[in-house]
Amino acid sequence: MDRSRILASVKRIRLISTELVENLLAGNYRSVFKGPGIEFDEAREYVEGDDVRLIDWNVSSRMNEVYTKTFREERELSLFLVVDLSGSLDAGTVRSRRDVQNLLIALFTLAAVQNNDRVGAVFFTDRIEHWVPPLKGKKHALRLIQDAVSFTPRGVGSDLGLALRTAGEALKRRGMVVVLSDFKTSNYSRDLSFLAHRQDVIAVRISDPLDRDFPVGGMVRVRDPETGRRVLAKGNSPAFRRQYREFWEAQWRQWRRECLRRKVGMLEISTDDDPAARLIQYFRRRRKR
Amino acid sequence: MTIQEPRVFWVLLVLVPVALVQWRELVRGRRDLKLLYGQWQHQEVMNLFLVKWFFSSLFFNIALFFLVLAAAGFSWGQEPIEEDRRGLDIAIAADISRSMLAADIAPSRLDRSRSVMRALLQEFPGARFSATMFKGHAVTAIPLTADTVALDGFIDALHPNMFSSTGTNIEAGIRAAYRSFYSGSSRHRVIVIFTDGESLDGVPVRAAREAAASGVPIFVVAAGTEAGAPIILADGSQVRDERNAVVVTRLDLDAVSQIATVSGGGMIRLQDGDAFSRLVAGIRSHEAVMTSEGFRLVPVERFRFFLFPALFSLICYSAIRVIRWKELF
Amino acid sequence: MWVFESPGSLGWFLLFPVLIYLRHIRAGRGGQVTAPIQLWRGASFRPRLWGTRTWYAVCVVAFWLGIAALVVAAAAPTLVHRERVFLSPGSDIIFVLDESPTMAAQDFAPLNRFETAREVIRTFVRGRENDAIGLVTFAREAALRVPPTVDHTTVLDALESVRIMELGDGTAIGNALAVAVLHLESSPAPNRFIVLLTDGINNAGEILPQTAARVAAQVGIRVYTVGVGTDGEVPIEFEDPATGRMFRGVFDGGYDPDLLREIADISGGTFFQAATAGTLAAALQSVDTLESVERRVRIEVRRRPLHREAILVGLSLLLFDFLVRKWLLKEVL
Repeated sequence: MDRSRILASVKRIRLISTELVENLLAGNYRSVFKGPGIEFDEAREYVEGDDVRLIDWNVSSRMNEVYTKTFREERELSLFLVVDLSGSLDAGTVRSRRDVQNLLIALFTLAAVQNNDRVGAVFFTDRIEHWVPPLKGKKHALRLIQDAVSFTPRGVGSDLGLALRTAGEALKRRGMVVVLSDFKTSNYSRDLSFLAHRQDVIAVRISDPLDRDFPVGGMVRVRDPETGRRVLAKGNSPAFRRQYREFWEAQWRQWRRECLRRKVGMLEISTDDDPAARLIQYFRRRRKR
Repeated sequence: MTIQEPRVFWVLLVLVPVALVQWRELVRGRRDLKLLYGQWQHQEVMNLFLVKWFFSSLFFNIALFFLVLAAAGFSWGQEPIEEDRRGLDIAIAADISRSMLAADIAPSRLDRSRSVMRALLQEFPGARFSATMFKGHAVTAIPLTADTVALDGFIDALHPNMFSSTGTNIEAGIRAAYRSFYSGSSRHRVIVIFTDGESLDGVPVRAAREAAASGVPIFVVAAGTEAGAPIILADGSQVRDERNAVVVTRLDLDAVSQIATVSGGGMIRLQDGDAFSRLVAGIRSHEAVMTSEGFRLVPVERFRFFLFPALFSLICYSAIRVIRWKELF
Repeated sequence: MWVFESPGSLGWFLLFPVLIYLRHIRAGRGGQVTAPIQLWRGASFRPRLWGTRTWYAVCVVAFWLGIAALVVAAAAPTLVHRERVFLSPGSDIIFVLDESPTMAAQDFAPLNRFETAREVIRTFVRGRENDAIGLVTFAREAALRVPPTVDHTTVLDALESVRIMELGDGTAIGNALAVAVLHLESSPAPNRFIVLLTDGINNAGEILPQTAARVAAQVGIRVYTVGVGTDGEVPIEFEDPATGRMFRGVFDGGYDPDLLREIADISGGTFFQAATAGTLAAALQSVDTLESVERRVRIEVRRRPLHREAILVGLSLLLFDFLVRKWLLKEVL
């Protein structure tokens, strides 16, 4: 991608995401965060409209006035993004998985900025491609988005385990880790459980309609973007499409099992979804719980 | 410039189904790629597919076209091949189908042919002759021999009743006559065929071309007129068809002259007064041309002229499909 | 035998490894869709498409074989056939074979006289490639079976079809010789002779054998005479071709050696007596030796180009590849 196109797409992503973040996301993301950060701030006089549930009866009895508790979330919350840059992310039928991924990065980053949180990221393929330490500030955040859009990875594989391990070792404080990947990788379960132990992890699976059903059509040679392995595909053969679907469904079930076992949040966003809408929906559901 | 195998041009008809399949490939390919590559790079994918489809189809069709041209055997120029021949072998092939009894050449086509055959025996005393008669199939009655007595007897006996067989197959006649030459002969070889050209079965030109390839010209004595005549049977009645109309047999001049041209021989019309002398002159000139040099001139087939462009196009056709463009396919 | 008229064109085959590498091996080649089909270092999708894969493999093979056929065609394959051509004129020979019932006499064990004669004539014919050979058979009548011809298959076929007693019962040596002389007379061959095989006495026909021999001598035809058979009683067994009945009996009688010797002497030939199969073969070998002529032979090369066939084969294979891939398998790229 040339420079002007990168700048254009960064601009476009910022426009969409700023709007979204201001409207909906900012509060949501922070409130679902279950970390240690909610701390008692002070008690003040009850004003009509305050949540009755939050009335501090101890203080109220002492003061003979109705007092209500106010809370303050921990200041130093950090959001860390684990971003998969492997070859499989370049593919996509409705749109590129990378587009969806970039939009999500921008949403999360800007939401963090809005909340004055620290945000960092690790970009990986079969190696760690790029490390952005968690820092505060709008400038830093924009820099991170630009890196995500313009970064050209050197590897093609996807060693998610390595990235999770690295993040787990580097992040000393408890925070929120969002994994943006298509999870077309293996051997990450140990590292995932290690990370989930200390961090609040959300696994965002960026999928594509092609991850479930092979379209009806003629014979075509398919090449895997990461390994270069080739198979013949025959879209007009029901048997072939059944085999294809069975394979990917098995992988999908496997992923869900891994996440459930480690109490990791799961969000699946397909390239034919509106990523922002899916994200908002997800956080709403999570907040209710 | 001559074309050795014009029949090969029929192969060009496969370009029609090939083009249909290619068109279907374009329509289907656009649909399938839309599903596989999606909308976000749709325009780029479609443009690339169109370009690749167009050029690979074009090169494939060019290759097919040139291959057909190569196989059709265009030839120009001649090259000599060594062939030293002396003496003369003449294979006589006589059409004895019923139409040879027609009297448009007096007394009848067959009778006039007979007298030409006899004269031929006398004209070339040192030559050897074989005698073949044909109707629906062909029989070589007299193998190659210098025995004029036996030949005379055969000529006298020529009649449609000699054997029963339906139809007229000039190709079979030419082939049987050609087979009567034996391989170790160092003589000039000539086929003289007496026919009215109405070949109902077989492809005479095919046999003629093969004979010519071995240096055997065919002299066709065209027995009959284009006006035609009814066929008179032995009891004096005329042959009639189902609707009781008199069947008129006509000389098929195109057919006979084509045999003569293809084989490098000549066509002589039996009703002409100088028919015999022209036949003799034709045979003698063939003999003379060949004897003088000890070489025979054969046309040079220029198939490589077409084959190399075809091979080049095939490589392009293959390369277009396998060279990856724009990191797509 | 195969040759290539322009073997240099086979150099196109040197391009094959490059082309095969580009089309089938190179990792970054085109003509394929990029889509994930496996997990990284994990499970991979392996469709069971044996039918399609087999067809596809057949197509690949057909394509390269087709191109190979075209390269071969470009090298101008030619079938070269060497042929012996006789430059010297051959002799004209007529066999005059007795087919009277007595030829069925079984004194030439294991065969009868007739079959033995047939066998030795066959051997003789095979040894005289350049000579025109004819066949006259006789009993009461005499008939020309084949005029003297170099087409020896016809001669051997005719010899095979001769049946005893087809021409009646009797021995018309004079007539038979006359027929043979008639058919040799017009021949321009420098060397002409007749071989007469008989086992009987001239007892039919209008022409005296001596007269016929004199005519032969006048036109320069030698007559070799072979007397077939032994003296004394011999058993006979044959089938009458007219009635289809088997005839069995005992026969006593023989040829007339004086007559046969006289015929030979008049015409400048030789008389042989053949009482056994061995002597009969020896007699014909002597004739062969006596009548041997110098043979000048040249080898001529005949060429039959095969490029058209190769082109059409290549064309068909390429069409097969195209139609199967694009029509049957509906290949997209």
